[in-house]
Amino acid sequence: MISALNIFSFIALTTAVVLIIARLYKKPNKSLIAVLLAVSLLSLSEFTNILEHLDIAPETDDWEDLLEIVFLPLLILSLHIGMLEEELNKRLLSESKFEAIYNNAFTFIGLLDHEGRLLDANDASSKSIESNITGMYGQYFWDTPWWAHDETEQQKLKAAIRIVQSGKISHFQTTHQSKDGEIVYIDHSLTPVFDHENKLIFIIPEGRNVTQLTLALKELEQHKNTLERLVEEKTEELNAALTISKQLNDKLYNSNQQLEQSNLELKRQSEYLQHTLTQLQAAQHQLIESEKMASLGILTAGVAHEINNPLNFIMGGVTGIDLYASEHLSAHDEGIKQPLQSIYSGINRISKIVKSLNTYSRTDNFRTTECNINSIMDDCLIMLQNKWKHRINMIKRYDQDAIIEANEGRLHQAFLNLLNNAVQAIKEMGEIEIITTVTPADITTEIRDNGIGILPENLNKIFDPFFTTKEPNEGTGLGLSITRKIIADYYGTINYSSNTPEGTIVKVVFPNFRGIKDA
Amino acid sequence: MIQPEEVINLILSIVFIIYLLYLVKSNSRSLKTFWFLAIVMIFISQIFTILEGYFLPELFNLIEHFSTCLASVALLLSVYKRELFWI
Repeated sequence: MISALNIFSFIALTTAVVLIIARLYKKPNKSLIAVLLAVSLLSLSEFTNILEHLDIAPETDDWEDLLEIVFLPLLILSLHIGMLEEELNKRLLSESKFEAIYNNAFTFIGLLDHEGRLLDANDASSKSIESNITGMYGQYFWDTPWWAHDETEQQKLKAAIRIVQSGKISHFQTTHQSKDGEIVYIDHSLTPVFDHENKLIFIIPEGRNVTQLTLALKELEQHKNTLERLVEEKTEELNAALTISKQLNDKLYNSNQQLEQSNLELKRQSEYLQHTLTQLQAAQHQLIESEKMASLGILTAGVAHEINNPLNFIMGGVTGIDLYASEHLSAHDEGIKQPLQSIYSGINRISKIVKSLNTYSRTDNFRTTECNINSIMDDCLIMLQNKWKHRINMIKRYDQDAIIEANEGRLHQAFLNLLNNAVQAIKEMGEIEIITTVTPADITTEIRDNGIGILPENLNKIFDPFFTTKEPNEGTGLGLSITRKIIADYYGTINYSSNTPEGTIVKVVFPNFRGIKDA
Repeated sequence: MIQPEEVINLILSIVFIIYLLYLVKSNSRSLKTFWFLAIVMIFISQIFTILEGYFLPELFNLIEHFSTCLASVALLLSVYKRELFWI
């Protein structure tokens, strides 16, 4: 059993030895030699053990003890060497990585000691100057060729290093001079590095070439300035234009105000002219109407006078015939009396009509006399009787002494208009009531008809000149206008009230001067 | 019967084992290697080499050789897997 284990161990160890030798052949390695030695000694120990147990060479037991003393330290040593080698490989890899980054970076990176002396610089930094970089190691950083072109930049760097020595990072813009002598713009920073006791040991300078960016920014700044100047100029121009525009606007506003005022004035004048024209037209029509009435009055007076003369002959003749018949034809008294009465009646009617015509046609418009309104009403009814007789029931309720101071002809004309309207408002059968009321203060005349009435919307227009609801041949629209004027001339008022279709009430009120005088 | 070479060997082994423990403390990865197992097995075999002189000589002798055999296999595997040098 023991021998079998020894043999198995020996085979395993010998295989390991062969493997190590093969690897050493491919790639010689000092660590592998130590391992080979350890494994070989162990293998040899096993071999002597086999020999001892198989009683081939019992004296090898001493060798075995000696070998056992050696191979354990060798195994541990091999492990230690392997660990060291691994650590070394790691560091080498890390260093090569660092160098790859450090020397292939575009930025300028270096290393300074705590006083600002140059210790190292990367390839990018060394390529930016002509001088040999290794010759500059140990120089103060501000004395190196990167800073030699400008004393101001050197002072700036010294100040920055002082800041870093106080433990802060410094960041500033500077310039370097390139190999070609051109100034390049650098974005520079200095970073402090501390040891485990927080003591400054290194300073890492870093610089990035920002020439293109800086030039672009400068160009942008120039463009910005140009743009600002242009904007300023345009703003001034706009302000000037705005001022002018404002002035023009003010002027326009003032002109507009003046025009509006002129327009209003014109409108007022136009309205005034229109009103005046309307009044003129009304006056013209009134004049024409007055002229017509005057002509009609003259004609009527002439006709009345010419009728009166033959009427006197007729009256005289009839009276003579009546006397003769009374004396000589008493037998025929009954046969003659009747016709004579008819003739008398006709003569009376003609006489009344002529009298009315005389009253209506008086041309002395400005002469006032005492006029009895009741008589004037009766005269007007006589003149209009062919229009109302047999269809309208005429009711008269007169107070005595309805007398005013006025021109009888004009008053006649006014009441004739009012009665004519009342008669025309009754289309078929109807009733008109005429009431005169005398009080000490005034004399009121009311004419009430039960005709078609006046529509409410027309009630405030009836006194307007040329307003009429009658047929074209029935009225001119001037009647009530003239009537109101006549009544107003004698300090009277006229008022209409109407309830369609119940009829119309017109009320004319004159001051009672006689009553006032008596009072 | 105890032999002076074996005692010296054990003392030296203890010293080296202490040194080994110090090493693996700085690199714990080594604890998981066949190489470390082999060292431990060798150390065990040396202990049982001494013990077999006092108690159960046949059993301890068997354990000693068995430990050595395991150590041999572990060394072979370690070399085969190149785990010691990470090359």
